[in-house]
Amino acid sequence: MRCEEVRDHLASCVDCRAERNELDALWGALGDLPLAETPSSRMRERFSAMLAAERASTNLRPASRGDRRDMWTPRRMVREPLVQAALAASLLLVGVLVGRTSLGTTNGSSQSASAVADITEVRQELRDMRQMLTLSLLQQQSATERLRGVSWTSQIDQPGNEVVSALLDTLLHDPNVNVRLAAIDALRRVSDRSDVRAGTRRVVGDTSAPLLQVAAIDFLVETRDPDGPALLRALVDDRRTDEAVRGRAQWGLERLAS
Amino acid sequence: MTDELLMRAVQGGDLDALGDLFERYHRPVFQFLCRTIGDPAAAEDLAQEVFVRILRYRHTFDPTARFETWLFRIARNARADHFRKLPPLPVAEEDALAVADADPGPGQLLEQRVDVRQLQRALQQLPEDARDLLVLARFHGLPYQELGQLLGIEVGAVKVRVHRAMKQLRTMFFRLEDVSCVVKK
Repeated sequence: MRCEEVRDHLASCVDCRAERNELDALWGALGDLPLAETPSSRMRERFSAMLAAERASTNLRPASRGDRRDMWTPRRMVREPLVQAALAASLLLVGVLVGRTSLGTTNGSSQSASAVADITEVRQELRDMRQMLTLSLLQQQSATERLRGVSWTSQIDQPGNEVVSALLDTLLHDPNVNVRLAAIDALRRVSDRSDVRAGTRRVVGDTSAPLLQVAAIDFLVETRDPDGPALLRALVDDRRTDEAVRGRAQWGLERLAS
Repeated sequence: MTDELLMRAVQGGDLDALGDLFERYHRPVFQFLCRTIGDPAAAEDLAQEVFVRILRYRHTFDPTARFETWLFRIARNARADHFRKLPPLPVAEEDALAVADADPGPGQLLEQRVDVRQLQRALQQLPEDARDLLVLARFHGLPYQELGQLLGIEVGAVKVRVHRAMKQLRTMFFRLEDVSCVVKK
């Protein structure tokens, strides 16, 4: 039926005209409905935390413009109480070391071996302190703080068992998916450890977090996990698997087969 | 800069571009979710999830397509995943649909017949597809062509569905009015 025919029919049919008027009125009223709500400021904070986690866990280029307040800059780090405490302790240790080394030079070369030992000791102290700071941040109630804890692990040369276990615990149990995503990226450095691989394999089957599943699939592919093909096949075959996860699992299967 | 260019920048690793897209779209996405599920807290969580997904699935965006259509597709998927894990919500109560701004505005042009809350409730009770269609077409102004791409149907079919959804809304609206009259009696 063409427009003209519809118009002619509406002109002659009272019922259709009434229906048309009612629909027009409802359509107009729909457009006049006020906004239901506005999102809270928490939403922007959470988004900023998510971006911070992404920046911390990837090598994406840093912000070149716009608002940089949400980035974890050195100046901002210095304002953190935990960082302040660590810096103060580090400075104290360095001061003691410099003092002892200076005294050593006045007492002859026999003191140099002692100075080297002191430097080693101070380095160990600093490493322990970084680990302690990281573990402390990972226990914080705020997801943003935990994200910082995860990013701090990148500053530890060789993360010890305690830090790796804390990261694994975060990966498996943290209530915030962004923190978990950052944890899986941080664990890439120690992907040769069997406990890390086992933890990641568990995440592959965690259907409550499709994003994390995608990240875990990437991890399996990168590390060419021997159990990878079977796990990915199970995901592809499972009808309940999220569509994007299934697609990534299929991609992973192809990569592992090549 | 257009949404699509910003999204291409995100694909290239520019996270600031995602911040710009967040500023442009976090309210519309939240509004869409809030209008279609009637729960502001859940809508906020889901809107957050939408931006996480944009970042995670950025490689799947086709730069020749319209960003807004892709965005609302992600929002619909996130909502579907959310409710797959949870029991369905009960029909929204009036309190949950309370509006932030009670100013009646031009809605009164309907000879005082259209009660805003009743219209909101009628909208909430529509089937999901019909509700999405009306919300996206009327509140977010998505053209029929984009709606067709979003739903995977032809433009002609979109028009038919919008008309059908409006008729469903009218039926639901007057049904609620009848119930309201019975209760008042």
